[in-house]
Amino acid sequence: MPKGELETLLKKVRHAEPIPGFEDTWRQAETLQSPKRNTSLLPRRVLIPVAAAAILALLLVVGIQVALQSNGNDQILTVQNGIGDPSQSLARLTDMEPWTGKLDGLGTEWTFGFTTGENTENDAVDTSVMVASTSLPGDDMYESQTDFLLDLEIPTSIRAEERNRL
Amino acid sequence: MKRSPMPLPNEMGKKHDAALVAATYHDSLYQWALALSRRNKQEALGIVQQTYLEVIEGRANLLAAKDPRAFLFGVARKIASSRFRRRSILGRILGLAQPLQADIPGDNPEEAAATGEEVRKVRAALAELPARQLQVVTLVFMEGLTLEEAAISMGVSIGSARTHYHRGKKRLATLLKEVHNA
Repeated sequence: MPKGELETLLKKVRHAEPIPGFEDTWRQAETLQSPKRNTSLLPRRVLIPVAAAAILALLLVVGIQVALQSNGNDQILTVQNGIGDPSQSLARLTDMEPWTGKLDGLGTEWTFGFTTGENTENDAVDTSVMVASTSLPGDDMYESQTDFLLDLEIPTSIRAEERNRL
Repeated sequence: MKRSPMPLPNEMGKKHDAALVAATYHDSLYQWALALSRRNKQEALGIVQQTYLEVIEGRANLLAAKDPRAFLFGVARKIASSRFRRRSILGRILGLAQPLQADIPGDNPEEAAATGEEVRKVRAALAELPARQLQVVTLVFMEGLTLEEAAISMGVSIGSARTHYHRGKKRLATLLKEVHNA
């Protein structure tokens, strides 16, 4: 079939095609407009900054929480440093006398004790840090230390710090 | 300050100007939408309306387009793809896949009488063409676009458009011959 004949046929089809009027189609399109846009309580130019501020505030709160938590760890470290010079070797730390310090956030005064133990990298740290409560009457500091050690998980942090120092 | 629910005069003016431009290409856009929807009238009308909606809501800046017709055709093509994709996904998930059926006058006696037999046969042949071939044939033969312009509207390379064009032309001629002999 020649191109011209095909073109004529298709033009005929095009002209025979009933086409919906422009006005009606445009008007129907207008009715499809999202009602949210006009009836929204907060226009987009307000909503976006508010949402951004809310996200920032959330991030700030999370950041503060993390900072506080890390500060708490720092306090543990500070207390630990109070034992002696942080640059002291582990051998020196393990030789120190039991001492008393307060950990913020726990609401109780805890006594930390360091036993003299074998100064090996694996054993000394694990066995040297102990926790006991002075507020429990009749408790012997050294007898109850293991339970508290397990309950509080504070020594875990200290052990971690100690390991880092090593 | 409370925002007025009515569009500002400037916005109204722009919308009015956009409507004037869109009106110029309305027939062509509808034909293109028919090709995109595999000649399903309802779907074609939906594509055209959604294209206008994009213009009305300002997501498609028709007034800034260098070639408004190509711009409208491009918007319509993206809308058609999006609608097709949505239908496919929903169809797959919900088991409601209903492929678009071409509207060919014949079932409706009134419409069949109003439309010539020859036109009806050509429409039936067009409905048999693969999507790309139908699109390029529509753009070139019905809308008088060059192959380069058709390629831009279809979002394909000129080489690809040329291939679809030649295949479409050949296939259409064969289909029309078959119909004629039958």
